[in-house]
Amino acid sequence: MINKEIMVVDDEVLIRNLLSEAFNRVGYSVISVGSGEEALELLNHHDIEVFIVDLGLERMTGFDLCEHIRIHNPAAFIFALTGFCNLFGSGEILKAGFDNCFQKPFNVEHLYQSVGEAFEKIDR
Amino acid sequence: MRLKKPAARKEIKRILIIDGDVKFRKMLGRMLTAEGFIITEASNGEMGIQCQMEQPADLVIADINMPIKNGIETIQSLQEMDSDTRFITVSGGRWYGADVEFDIVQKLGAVTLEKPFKKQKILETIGQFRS
Repeated sequence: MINKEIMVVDDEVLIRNLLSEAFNRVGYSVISVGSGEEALELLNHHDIEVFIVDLGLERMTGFDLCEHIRIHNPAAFIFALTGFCNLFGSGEILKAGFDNCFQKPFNVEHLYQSVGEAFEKIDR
Repeated sequence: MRLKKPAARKEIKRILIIDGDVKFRKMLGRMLTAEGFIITEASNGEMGIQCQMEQPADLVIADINMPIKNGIETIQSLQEMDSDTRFITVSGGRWYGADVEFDIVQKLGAVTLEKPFKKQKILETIGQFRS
């Protein structure tokens, strides 16, 4: 059984804390960072397979980060969080390389389900 | 006698987004880039004017409420620079005096959109300018 570690990338500290607490509570360890640049820096030393990424990050956007992660780890599971569903349909978000997307405000149960399924696939 | 047709306005290729909300600018810019437009961004009216001097856009999408130089002042300055530039103003909801400000920007020839607007809505609005 692999270590159930996920990375949360969101520049809103409240969202980072909320997701860290929620996933810690159900047995995951969470690395949370506030920018795409920090995420890439950490990925130089950490192997992480499951990501929850805000699309609207300030410098490097969530789309850009997803692209970078995919270059190094095409099999990673990357889930998008977005407050911009008015501008991007889920089809466009999936086409950009995400495995699923969740509109803010999100239901954490839906995230548990997607993350859980991702680890089941990794365990196989 | 044939009436002379008015000269066709430039096609919209380059769009300048002026908005203090970096997330909004980036997300709107990404969506419009995917639609084939060339995007430049500025975080306030003064920077927008600077961008327009360096690399004029055919369409400016500007927030009404901005520090340093608000959307109305920015549009007035940009119109003086090039009367052919077209404008869409965007705003994050209603505030005291919003109707008066919307009225002013409309009189200046800008189309107003309230955030959050759908992708289809802004593309249709740009399409109307194109035709």
